[in-house]
Amino acid sequence: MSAADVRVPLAAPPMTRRRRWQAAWRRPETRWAYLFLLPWILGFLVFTAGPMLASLVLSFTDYDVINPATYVGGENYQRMVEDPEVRTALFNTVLYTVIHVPLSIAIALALAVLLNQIGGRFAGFFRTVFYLPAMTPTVAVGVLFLLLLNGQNGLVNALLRLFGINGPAWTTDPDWVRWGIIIMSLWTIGGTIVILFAALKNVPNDLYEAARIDGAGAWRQFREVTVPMISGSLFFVTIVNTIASLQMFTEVYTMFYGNAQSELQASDSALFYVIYLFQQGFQFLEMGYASALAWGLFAIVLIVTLVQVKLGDRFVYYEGDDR
Amino acid sequence: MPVAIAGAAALTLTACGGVGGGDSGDDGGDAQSGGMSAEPGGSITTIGFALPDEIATVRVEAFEETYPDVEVNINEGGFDEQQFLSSVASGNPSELVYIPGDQVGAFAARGAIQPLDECVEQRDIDLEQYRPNVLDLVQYEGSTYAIPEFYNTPVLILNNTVLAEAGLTPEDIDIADQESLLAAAEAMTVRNGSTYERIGVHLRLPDITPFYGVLDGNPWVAAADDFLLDDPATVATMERLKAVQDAQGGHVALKDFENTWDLFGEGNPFAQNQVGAMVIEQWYVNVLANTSPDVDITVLPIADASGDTVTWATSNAWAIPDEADNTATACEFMKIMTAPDTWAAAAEERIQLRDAEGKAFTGIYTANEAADDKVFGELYTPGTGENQKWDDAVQAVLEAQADAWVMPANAVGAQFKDAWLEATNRILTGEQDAASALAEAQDKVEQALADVGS
Repeated sequence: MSAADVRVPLAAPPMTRRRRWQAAWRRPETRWAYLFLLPWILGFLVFTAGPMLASLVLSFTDYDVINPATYVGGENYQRMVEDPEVRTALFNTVLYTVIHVPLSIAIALALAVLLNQIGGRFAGFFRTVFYLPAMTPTVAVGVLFLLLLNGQNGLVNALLRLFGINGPAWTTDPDWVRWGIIIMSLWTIGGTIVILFAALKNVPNDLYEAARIDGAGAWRQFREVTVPMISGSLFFVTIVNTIASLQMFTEVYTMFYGNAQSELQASDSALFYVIYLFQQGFQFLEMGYASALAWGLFAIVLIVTLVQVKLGDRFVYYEGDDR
Repeated sequence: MPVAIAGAAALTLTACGGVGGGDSGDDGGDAQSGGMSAEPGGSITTIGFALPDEIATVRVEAFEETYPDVEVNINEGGFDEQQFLSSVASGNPSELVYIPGDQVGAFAARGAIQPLDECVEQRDIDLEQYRPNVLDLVQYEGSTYAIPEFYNTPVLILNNTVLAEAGLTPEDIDIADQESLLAAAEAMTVRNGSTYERIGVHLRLPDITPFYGVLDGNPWVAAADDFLLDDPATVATMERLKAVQDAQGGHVALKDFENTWDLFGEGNPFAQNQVGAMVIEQWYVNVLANTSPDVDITVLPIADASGDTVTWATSNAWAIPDEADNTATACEFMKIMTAPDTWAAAAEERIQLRDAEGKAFTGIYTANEAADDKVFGELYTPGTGENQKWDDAVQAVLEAQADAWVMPANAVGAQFKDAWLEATNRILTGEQDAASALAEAQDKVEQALADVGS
């Protein structure tokens, strides 16, 4: 074979994004994929993106839901900054988030580790039992905990009395209302347990064997093997629980604002951000201001999530990653 | 997403928030097109109204019997502002809405409900039948916006067993006199630390806090745009109410104990001797007569410092949402639901039911004075023997209701309630002193008034 016979293939011209898209679109799989995605895309546009855009516009207006909106510029945002109740609501919400998220993840992780130890025919039973509370409708959870947390005859204080502790008035004492809400929130950690349990199941046994051979005890194995290997899941539940906590509404609304009777015991301690937003929109007919509050919360959630993602890059281990 | 809450509710959810049931079928004729004098027809849907007892069902049946061709859909449940506003904003409201009287002004001011002047005129609703003070609640800027139903006024219910145990008589319980009130409260309260067996005097706080302003001679609202929350007299009222709560162990513990009560059941606080005296609206007399006919109570009207009977009335009312269909039928429904004959039919049904169970009929108390005259003048039979106490109770309620103060309809009813409720809770729990809490509440209401004005 002579040198002349060696043919160097011509380099294909780089495909532009448009050409790549056109090439992909010619494939039937792509068209089918979009067809199946279409319901979600439509739903997203109509029920999420559209209202978001609308609320952004409304946030610059004075709008009472009934009459046409009138443009007021940045007044609603200025009011938001000056409103002392926004500060109260934000304080309650952030305090709840800061305590609830690590506490719930720690408890969920402990329970997931316990579940992981259970083998045999009882394993499925216990998994179901731990997840079951998460299936309870949130309104029912609110009502249930009004009873459980009652200072006079609630089960929580009855339990504390067994240890000689005279429990507080969790639902009526402003100093204890927030803690009562945090206790209630632990009822629904079943979802987090399931995610962490699944992650624990995926940790290879040979890593533990290697650690044991190296002389690592149980705590060391947990710290050096388990935690890094499930850090991706821990990161995920941290982000999801943080967002959910900042948006806390239903349970607290049911307990303290849901009807004429419950709102009578509402105190500043139970005023969460989304509840205040809801009050402004539907109770006081200030939908423009409520929209500004919604965007304020969106900005907070976005910033917190970005910070978490940035920090997560340092601490989260993904299998197959170089780090 | 958080932002979707407001936006979605305001715009998108309105599409699925429709509660209107009045289809524009042919059978309604002019009634469907909104002519007030048209023959009722088609269908109507109500929101905010429930059918918990014969007083509600008999009246709805009265309308259905009068107009058998009209389809009546009672969308049972309490009033839900979100549901109502979403339906109005979407242009698909129900034909009727049943709302708390103190919110009529706010919805009227924003155009969420229609003025009923044409309805009243063309369907011959005789407003003179209704109690003039309750009409203040539903009339805004010269127009009638709602037709009131019940007439709720606080009375004092005494537990004779508890009073006797404490060595007290009904004359010892004077709500207007702070000294005797404190003494009675302390004498009747039974508790072990923060664990209660009995509340001495239950003032039903914060539910009816504004009533005590009326009792002390300083109603918290002077006019639709004149609120007196920061008035020194209001501060004094709140300070004395806090003193009564503190004398019984403090508002927090009292509220906690109150939350354990079975208020509407056979194990109610009077049957269980969990309370010595209670200030509560007159409907509770009906509850007790039904659930605990043997309970030993005395019902009294409440007097002010000079001995004159004083009370405060609230009501719920029917209204027609803005842009509702079938207004003629809706108007006729309101008329029949609140007419003297309809109330009388409901009362007769209750009398029969109570008779069958050997229980006393303790009246129904409506915003329609002509209806009350009919019920108590023609149908009510005073109880005797064991039921004498219930007759005494009825007479006390009627005396209490003679001249009740009613909050003037105003554009910021919800904000006002929220403001006084917040302030009351802060004061009673000791979080804030009365003067500053009420000053903040007054600022909030004035800001809300300014916002509505602008």
